[in-house]
Amino acid sequence: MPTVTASSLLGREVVDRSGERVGAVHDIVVRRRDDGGYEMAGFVVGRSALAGRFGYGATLAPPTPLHGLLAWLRRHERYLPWEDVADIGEEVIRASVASADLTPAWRAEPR
Amino acid sequence: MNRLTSFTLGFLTAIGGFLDIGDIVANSLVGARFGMSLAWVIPVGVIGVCLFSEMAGRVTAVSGRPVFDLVRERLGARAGLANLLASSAITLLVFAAEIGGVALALELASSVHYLLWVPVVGFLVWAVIWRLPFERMERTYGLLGLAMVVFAVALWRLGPDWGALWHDALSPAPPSGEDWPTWWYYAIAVFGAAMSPYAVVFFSSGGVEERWSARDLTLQRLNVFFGFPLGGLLALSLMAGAAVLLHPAGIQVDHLSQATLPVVVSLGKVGLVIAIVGFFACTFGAALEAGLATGYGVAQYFGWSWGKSVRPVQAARFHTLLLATVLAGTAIVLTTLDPVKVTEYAIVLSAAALPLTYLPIFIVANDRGYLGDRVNSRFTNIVATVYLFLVLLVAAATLPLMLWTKAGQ
Amino acid sequence: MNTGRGGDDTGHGAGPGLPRVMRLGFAVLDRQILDVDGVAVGKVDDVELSWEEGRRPVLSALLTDTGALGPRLSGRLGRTWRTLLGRLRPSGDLPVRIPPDQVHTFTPATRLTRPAPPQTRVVEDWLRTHLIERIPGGGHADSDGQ
Repeated sequence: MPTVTASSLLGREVVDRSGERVGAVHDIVVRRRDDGGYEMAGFVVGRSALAGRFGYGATLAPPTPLHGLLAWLRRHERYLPWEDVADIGEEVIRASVASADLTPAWRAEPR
Repeated sequence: MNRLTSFTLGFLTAIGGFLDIGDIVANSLVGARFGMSLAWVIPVGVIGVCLFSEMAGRVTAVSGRPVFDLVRERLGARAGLANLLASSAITLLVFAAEIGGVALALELASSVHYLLWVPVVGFLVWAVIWRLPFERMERTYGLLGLAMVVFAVALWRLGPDWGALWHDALSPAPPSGEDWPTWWYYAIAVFGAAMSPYAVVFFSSGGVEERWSARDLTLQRLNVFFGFPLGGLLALSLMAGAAVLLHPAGIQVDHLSQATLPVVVSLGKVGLVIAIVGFFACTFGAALEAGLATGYGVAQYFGWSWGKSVRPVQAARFHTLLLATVLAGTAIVLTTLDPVKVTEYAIVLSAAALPLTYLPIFIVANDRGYLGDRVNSRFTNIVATVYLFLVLLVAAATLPLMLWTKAGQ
Repeated sequence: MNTGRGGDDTGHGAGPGLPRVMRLGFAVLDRQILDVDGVAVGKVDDVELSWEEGRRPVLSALLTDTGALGPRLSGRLGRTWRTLLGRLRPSGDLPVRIPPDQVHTFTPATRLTRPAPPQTRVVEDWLRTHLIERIPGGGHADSDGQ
């Protein structure tokens, strides 16, 4: 069975259908299946590793005076669902859709 | 132990434990050289250390996890390791400085050269870490550290012109004969001494050792918000004593004995004895804290079991590391580097490394996954952001200033 | 944005503390692992995903120990290094694998439902028998001070 480590996926380039750069993988979203195991749901893709790595967007709320700054740093953040992944290459992950069709909301993942 | 006793003890410990060799050297030296013109840095530092210690204490009390455990979680393995290496190196330097400080205090008391005391001190530090229970260890040195009140008494007995002191403190500019870069360089030293980042690591890991829970939060806050400022007052009286007595006479502080002069002049031999006890307690206590902080930081990065509340055989890696730290720290002092100089470098570099400790605390103190609705209030966040910019500025300015002023000469 | 309590979850499923949806980097990677008795095991140094051809990858193990941490520290170079190392001596510096069904909760710390895997204690045990145990007083707890 082929395997991959999360750390090797984090930071990998992501390009869209036309080869345009979307960003780098900031995080991997997983979803629990009925049998209790976790399966891949998609990638959080962004351009500012700083804001991405700290984990803002999960339980971490940006502190008051930095709201704007962090929102600005995360303005390129997109969610790439597994369904829209065309190919996971050694260097680059290709999406099967255009970058304009990707939304920022990874939390819209069906539960 | 009932709550009142426990509060009083914790409170007194916070006062006595606030001072270390860095504060003693920086404040005496600055008072002697710059008068009261840098006094404003102490309240700035004290507010900062209160703010971030409270955050660290809150994270620990609510989540049961020390702050450095969380650094790697938020910064990742690589940035976390870089942070760990830098902080450990500086903490080790502080540790060496404290050991040197203890040895100097013993030299003052015994007239035996401090280098002969260094191995003894190294062994004692290790033995206390190895055997003395955490709470008793912290209490003993914190309470003995209260002897430093003698500096406040000495200042009062010297009967200075309070109005002039106050006026000096309100005119933040270098006195004649000193230039701005040097003045700023020593401002950073005083700031680094007051904010001492290792103390925050120790403080939050200590919270885990003492098993704080959310119920201890109020007590903890009182200790921080009242104990630390009172400790800051002691730092201020060290500076003022030197400013009153040494500054007009043009005496520079390059040995610990000069720091005791205000006490000797106003209180004589008895004062000197008390001051030496204070020096010993402060530096010995801080040596324990800095030594343990190194061990805590590394163990928490790798996720080893750590702490004094588990048996050493159950935390073998942690205790091996502590042993190595004590040996390394002792070896640094034995190179015959001047302990006062080592201290100066240690506090200035601590100031430069402040963001490494304070940024992760700030991030985690806003995580609802850990703190639920006990995350930072809006007010705390605003003040903390101002401080973060301040420590970033200090970090950026430190090395250039150090080179420019040839480390304050 | 989720502002509720209790880790990185957005609504609990059947499991005790296991979220329905989570971000691996935020909620799993680099977290402290504690075994069933609360003993520190290590950090989640990496997470392994594996898949059958044409299927979605699934979370197949949490990796811990230097075998997993080493490659992460040096980034791309480290990965190449590990591929090489893996070819040279397949049984080399392998990370300790913890299957996800042994995880009780992920956040704030990863708690296991079993004792720590023995491989995580090799260095600890060596240092204990060769050094710490031989120093007088090593077996005494400090908690008498409580």
